[in-house]
Amino acid sequence: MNRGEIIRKELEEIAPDIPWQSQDPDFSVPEGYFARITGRMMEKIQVEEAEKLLRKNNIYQVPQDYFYRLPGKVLKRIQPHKVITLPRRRHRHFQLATAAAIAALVALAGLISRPTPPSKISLDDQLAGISDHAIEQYLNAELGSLNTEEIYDYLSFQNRQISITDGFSSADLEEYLDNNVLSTGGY
Amino acid sequence: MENDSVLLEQFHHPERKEAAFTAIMRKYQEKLYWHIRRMVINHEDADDILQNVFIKVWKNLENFQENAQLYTWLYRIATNECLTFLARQKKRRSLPLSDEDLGLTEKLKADVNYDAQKLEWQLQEAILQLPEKQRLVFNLRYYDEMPYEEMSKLLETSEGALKASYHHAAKKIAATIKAWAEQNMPH
Repeated sequence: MNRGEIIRKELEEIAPDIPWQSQDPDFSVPEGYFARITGRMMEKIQVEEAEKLLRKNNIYQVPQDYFYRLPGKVLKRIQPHKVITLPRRRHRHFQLATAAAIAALVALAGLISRPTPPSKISLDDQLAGISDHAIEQYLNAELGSLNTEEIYDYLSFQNRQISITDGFSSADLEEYLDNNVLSTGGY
Repeated sequence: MENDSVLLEQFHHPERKEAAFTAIMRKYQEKLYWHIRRMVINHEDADDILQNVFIKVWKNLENFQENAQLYTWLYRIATNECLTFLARQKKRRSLPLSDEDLGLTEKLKADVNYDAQKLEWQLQEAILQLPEKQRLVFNLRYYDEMPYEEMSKLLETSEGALKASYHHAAKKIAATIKAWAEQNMPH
């Protein structure tokens, strides 16, 4: 029993009512198709081979290290970009306005709590504002307690050379005043 | 016709390569064509696929392991090409993978030789209703008379599973043919 008969028997056991015939239907095939297919295929293969040869004898050049760097470049391009979500414009304006308001409040609070700056009133003006009575009181209270010795120490060395206990003549005094005090003017 | 091992040996000699390949094509072209044609029905599609198969064979025959059968290897390439083609058709038509027909019945009926009254055309229509893999198993067994052992290597499926698949396919086909016969055949 050949293989075809075995197969038919097999099918008759599965479905005995069917007239199994392992024959293809009369599919239409262009005339001479099988006679031509081998030649057509060989032509196609020869074209493929010629193309392969052309590919081998490549006349083009690529930059140095191009193929070494290519995988990295490709990976860089295919990696998903990090997405940074920018706040909406209106929201940003609101944030900016809030920041400005806080800054203004801080500045205002600083101005309120800041100590008053020292007055730029001159020393002369300040002294002019003191009454004569107050000066007298101060001198009585402060200078009255100083003894002669303390006053003496308080004077400069030059002044100390002039001893008030030494007897000066009126002429000496006038000469001194002319040479030392009046010559500076104003006194 | 020379045997496969002689042809393969010749293929490895550059000066005899094309002649050996032409002989291999002549030996298997019709078997492969009909295997493909039964899967895709239309001649133009079958022709395209057959050419792709031979191009792949030409490119890979150098690496073919001679401990495997050339015949099984060629069938495997042809089967893979058919399944890829059908999957691409489904994708192009946005059909679900479960949709088996793919307009193949329409293509069958469009054949100039189609005759609805002939059993072999009805048998083809019934086969087209089967799931793709079952259709493949039935065709390989019924038309190509392929032993289960070889089919098992080709489809990488156990012989038991292939027998079960073939049995189910034959039952379904028988039911379809019976229904058709009851409507069309005079009692």
